[in-house]
Amino acid sequence: MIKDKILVIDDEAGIRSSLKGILEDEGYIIKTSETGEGGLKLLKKQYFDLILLDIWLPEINGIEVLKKIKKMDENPQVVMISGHGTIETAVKATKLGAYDFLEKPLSLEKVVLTVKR
Amino acid sequence: MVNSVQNIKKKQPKKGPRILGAITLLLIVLFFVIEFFIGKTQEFPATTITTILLSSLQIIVLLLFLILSFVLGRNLIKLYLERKRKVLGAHFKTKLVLFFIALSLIPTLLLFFFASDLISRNIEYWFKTPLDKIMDDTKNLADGFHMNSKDITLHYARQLNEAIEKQNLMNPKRRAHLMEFTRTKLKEYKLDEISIYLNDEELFAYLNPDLPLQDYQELSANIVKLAQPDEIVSSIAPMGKGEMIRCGIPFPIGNIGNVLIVVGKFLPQNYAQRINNITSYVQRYEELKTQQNPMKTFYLITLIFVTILIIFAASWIGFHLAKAITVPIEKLAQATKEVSKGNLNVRVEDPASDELGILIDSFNQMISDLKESHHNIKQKTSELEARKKYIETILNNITTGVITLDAQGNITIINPSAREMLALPRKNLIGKSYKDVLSYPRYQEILKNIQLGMQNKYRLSDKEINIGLNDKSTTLTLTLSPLKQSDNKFSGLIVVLDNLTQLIKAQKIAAWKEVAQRVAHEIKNPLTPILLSAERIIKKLNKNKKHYDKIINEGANTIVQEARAIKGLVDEFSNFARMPEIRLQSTNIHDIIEQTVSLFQGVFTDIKFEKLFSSSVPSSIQTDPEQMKRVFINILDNAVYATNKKGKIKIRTSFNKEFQRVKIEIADTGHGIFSKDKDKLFLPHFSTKKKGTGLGLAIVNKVINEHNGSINVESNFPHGAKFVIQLPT
Repeated sequence: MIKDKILVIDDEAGIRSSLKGILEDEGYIIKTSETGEGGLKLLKKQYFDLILLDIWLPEINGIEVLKKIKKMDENPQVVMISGHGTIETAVKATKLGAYDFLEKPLSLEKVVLTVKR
Repeated sequence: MVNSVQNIKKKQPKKGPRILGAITLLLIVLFFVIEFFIGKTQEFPATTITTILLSSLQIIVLLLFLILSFVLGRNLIKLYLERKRKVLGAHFKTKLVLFFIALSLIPTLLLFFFASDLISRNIEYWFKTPLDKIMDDTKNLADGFHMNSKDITLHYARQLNEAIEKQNLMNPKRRAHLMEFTRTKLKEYKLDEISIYLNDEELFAYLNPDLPLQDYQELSANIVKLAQPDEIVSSIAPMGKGEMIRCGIPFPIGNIGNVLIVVGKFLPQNYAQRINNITSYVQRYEELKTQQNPMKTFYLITLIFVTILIIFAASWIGFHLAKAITVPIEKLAQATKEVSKGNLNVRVEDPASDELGILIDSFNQMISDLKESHHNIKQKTSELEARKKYIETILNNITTGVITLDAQGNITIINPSAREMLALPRKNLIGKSYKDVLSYPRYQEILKNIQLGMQNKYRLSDKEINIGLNDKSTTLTLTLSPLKQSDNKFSGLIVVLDNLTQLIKAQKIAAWKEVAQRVAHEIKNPLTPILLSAERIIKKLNKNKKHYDKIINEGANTIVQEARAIKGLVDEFSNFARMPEIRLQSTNIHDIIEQTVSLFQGVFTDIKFEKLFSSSVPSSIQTDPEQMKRVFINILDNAVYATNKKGKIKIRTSFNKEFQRVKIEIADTGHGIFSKDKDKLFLPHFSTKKKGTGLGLAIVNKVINEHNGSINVESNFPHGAKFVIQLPT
């Protein structure tokens, strides 16, 4: 069985570690990045099947990172993580090609279900 | 008004005066004609014609006198009426006319009286001389002269007679001797004629060759006819220009016959004629004497006539001169009256070319200048009025409250918004001192600030002030601008009030929305790991016992960590809400900055802190040192974050002596502040930081405001932000 690779981009250490924990439990290979820039660097090096992307990031925000990801040749699926679960950001993200979005606080069940899909 | 005056003046030459003038002229001409006739006669024959002419002269003079009196009287009455009606210029006119009349009347009358007296006295004197006696004497003289001449002639005739008889010269033989003798005697006696007749026949005659001989023949014949025997004849007969006195003595000589010897003496002047003349003169003089009174009358009438003419002319000139002077003056006076009433459309139309004309021209020029400047002033006034209205309308309709105070602090303007904001009555505010109007304790803060403004005459901008009105707190911002005159003298204060209550309410709602969002975000962030960790523990607990210890440890740790973060957050909020009141004490602001900076210097070694402290800053100012420390910590914290922990932070102090304010500038070389964010900067919970409560600068703002200071943010050059704090001493 080939393990799917997932990239988590979030500036909150707590979120990164807890997401890594639960998704590794499910059998995925998890990489994390604190900033959007760091995430994009990782994306250039290797392929990921899925990216969990926080909207509010320091320096380059989630939406900008999403735009850059969508410009890349390989097209991984992106799920946005938002504390500001507004319709506006959701619509914007989906228009830009995000697969789905998860609203904070995240629940284990929802995360696993979305990732699986 | 002036026009009507001109009309009256134009109407004045009516028919009456013209007829009167014509009559006067006619009378004068008539007078001269009659006088010419009288003068031509040279004498005053006591005829009826003379009497008629004299009486007509008298009538003419009387008529002239009446006309003069009428004209003068009429004009004087007119003047009197004008004076009574207080027509402008009447006084001046009266003076002039009276002056002229007096000027003509006094010398003329004096002259008249003297002259008439002189004439009558002279006339009387002429007729007093005893001309009759002169006449008699003259006649006697002439007669005596004749007699004398006759006597002398006769005497010579006798002498000749005697000599001829004695020498017997009549003897025809001695004829040559006689002739010789006669010729010698003519020369000797200086006679003009010696002729000797014999029996009425002329024997011979010796004559003075100078005599006019034309009439002689006739003369010699006459005397022969006259001659009677034994009787001496004498005759005086005119001859040439003179007279010939001749005496003849007849004497008979016995044998020869009757001899007549005639001796003549020529008188070169015709005395007789002269005397005749004198006689006729005297006769005429006698006649004249009877005409003495008519003559006197004639001269007097002539004098009166001349006098009347002079007075007439003088008064006429007087009136005209007065008119020429007073009419323009009257017009001027009337125009001046009009101008004083406010009518500036007056123009004095008078074609006078003398100084009065210049005066009138100047007056007209002055009025037109006045009119122009009046017009300008009117225009300016209406512009000002419009401007005033405009400003008033603005002041009445804006929601900003405006109060202006004069240098003494009395209210000059207060607009409805200001009244409303301060809940002041509508009436009796203008002119009152602001101290009286704002005497209630609730205005204490605003009163204090205005008092400071009046004392220090400095600008104060957007000072927030709370006043409690009807159990409601109203927040106002107070702006004071000193009014300065052109010479930089303080002339008052403009107090501008803005009601912040509504604005603050809206801002508060917006701020709270943001706070709510942020709090939600901040709480949701740690909640995610807590939830995930807890769920993971539960899941592992149910399914798989592998790595159980490790997962529980990890999960519990995360939960504790995140819960602490939430606690920290909550603590900060409660601290902001529970911030203590400031307690002012004497503080050295440089020390506080120094202490704060040293805290940061130890931790952030990549940041260069530069301090530029001015020695003019007072060593002791009234602040709360603890709160000020907090202010500097928050600002420096911000700066450190903005510079990304490496760069330069510059702190500079200065002192404004005029406004007695300490200025502290803190500049960093960080990313700076977007201008859109500047307004929101000091509101609670605005933050560009990912982490942070957004309370830092809100706290700074609150503390500085409580110190009656101000804080602004500016852009630093070339990049970064600069916070400027101003504190009162």
